[in-house]
Amino acid sequence: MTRSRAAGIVASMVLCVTAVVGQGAAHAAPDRLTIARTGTDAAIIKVPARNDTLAVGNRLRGAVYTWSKGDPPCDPTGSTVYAGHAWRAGNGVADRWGSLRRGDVIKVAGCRFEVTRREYWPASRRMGSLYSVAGPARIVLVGCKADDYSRRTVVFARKIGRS
Amino acid sequence: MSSSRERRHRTAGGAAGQGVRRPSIHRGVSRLVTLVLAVGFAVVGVAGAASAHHNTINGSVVCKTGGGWAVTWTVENSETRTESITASNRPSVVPVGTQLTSRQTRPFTETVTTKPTSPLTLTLSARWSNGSTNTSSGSIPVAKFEDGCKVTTVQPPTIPVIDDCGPGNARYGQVPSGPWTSVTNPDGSVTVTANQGNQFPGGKKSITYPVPADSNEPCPVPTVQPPTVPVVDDCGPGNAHYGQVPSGPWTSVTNPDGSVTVTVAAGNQFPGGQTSVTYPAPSDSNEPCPTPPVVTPPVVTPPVVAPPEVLPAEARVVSARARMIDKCGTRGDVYKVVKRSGVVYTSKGKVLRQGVWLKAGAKRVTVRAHAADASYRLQGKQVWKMTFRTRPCANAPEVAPSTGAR
Repeated sequence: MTRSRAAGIVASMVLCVTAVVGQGAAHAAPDRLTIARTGTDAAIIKVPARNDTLAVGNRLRGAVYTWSKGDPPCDPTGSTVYAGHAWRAGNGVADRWGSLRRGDVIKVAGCRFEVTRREYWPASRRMGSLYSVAGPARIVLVGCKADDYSRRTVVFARKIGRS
Repeated sequence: MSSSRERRHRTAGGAAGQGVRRPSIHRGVSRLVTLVLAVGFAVVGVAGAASAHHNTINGSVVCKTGGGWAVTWTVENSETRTESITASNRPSVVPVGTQLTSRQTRPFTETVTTKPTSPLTLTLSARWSNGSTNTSSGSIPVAKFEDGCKVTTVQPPTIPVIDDCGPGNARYGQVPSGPWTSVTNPDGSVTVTANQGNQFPGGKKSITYPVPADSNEPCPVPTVQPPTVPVVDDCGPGNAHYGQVPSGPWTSVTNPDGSVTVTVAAGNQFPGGQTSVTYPAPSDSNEPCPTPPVVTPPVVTPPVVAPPEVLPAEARVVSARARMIDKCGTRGDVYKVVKRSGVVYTSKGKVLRQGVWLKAGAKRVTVRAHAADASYRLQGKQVWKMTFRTRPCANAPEVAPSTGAR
């Protein structure tokens, strides 16, 4: 248990309030991320940041990675980032994220999100702002562009409710 | 010579009459005296002349127009002095007291309706102004009364009076036939006039029947049966009323209370002599109307209200609740008060919006719950003191993860 979480629990006991504490620490990690349009059904794996970048794992399929200190996806505020691999030869979990359109639904940890926009960022673009703990509740999918690894597919989806 | 001596004369030229000198027992003596006086005593002759006071009475008769006989008597005063009638056997013709002047001849007339059976005689006694008296007569033989002048007395007819019902309409009917003629006068009277040779009793030639008196008997009024007025009673309560009144010799009016009064027209009556009949307001059968088609009212879902936890008569018991999220830093710290009917949340005196996440904006936030009004009573926790830590967030990775080819 981290210090902050322990402090949150203590605070909850003292104030008798239901409190969600910490940078995603108060909630259990979402189990899976599913996207009907693209056939995505992946496990969510929390990973740390290393060298100022998200330390994603090696699984091409069936897994997406999120920052272990990132904001929980179902919080009323904040933004959660999920990264997935795209494989030029196919078989990557994010191979088809570029086909998502406005209105497509993404389900994460019991919450539903609706795609609001899709962008392609250069790999060099800083994306620390995508991890904000404030602002509207949303998730951000980040993956390499399958046909151009120098670019990133970035999909924004806002929270629309519980599943 | 003496006023009491009677003399009889023959009428001097009377066509029908004849004067009659009455014989006297002293006739011879009188003649003798007269002769003596004429011879030697002229003055006595004057006295003898006084004995000649008399009236010469002649009578004539003719048929009278219309029947009967018209008798005319002429009385001639034989003297040069006035006389006065002292007695008359026909006073209606020559009344007592009638005077004749010197040598006057006066006619007197009368009508005779019945043929006499003996000579008709007029006998007059007179007194002259010198005191002399005399009684003289004149007669008309029966033969002088011609039969063609006979007048028949008939009874006047009885004229029927027609008096129909109603006032002022009495009138005479047909005059029975007879020896008369009749005429209806403008005022309604009838004059019946006997034909020639006829007369009514009393010698009347005509009789006028006065205007007949009206009995003013009222005419019988026909009785009509009052109409049967239909009652219209539609379904439903209290709407019974009379329909159209049948036509007839009456008028009708509907009264404010729903009754109908039928008044018979003039000249008619209802049974019992009634002039009007009032039909009472009809009673309603209160027959219900057929059930209208069932219309399902729209289902209105009442607003969801938290069920009271106490008896309805008491104040509703509600519970309040507040939540908080303490994220790293302060920008993501939020809290929310649960939406509850009957609860008002405040923080620093300001009423909080319910059901939405609110930014904390400070390390400590105190939320208080109040009952909205006296009909609510809070149960459970009512004050929340929230503390938001300010520890900084970890540095988010800025470099895009390597998710491409490996």
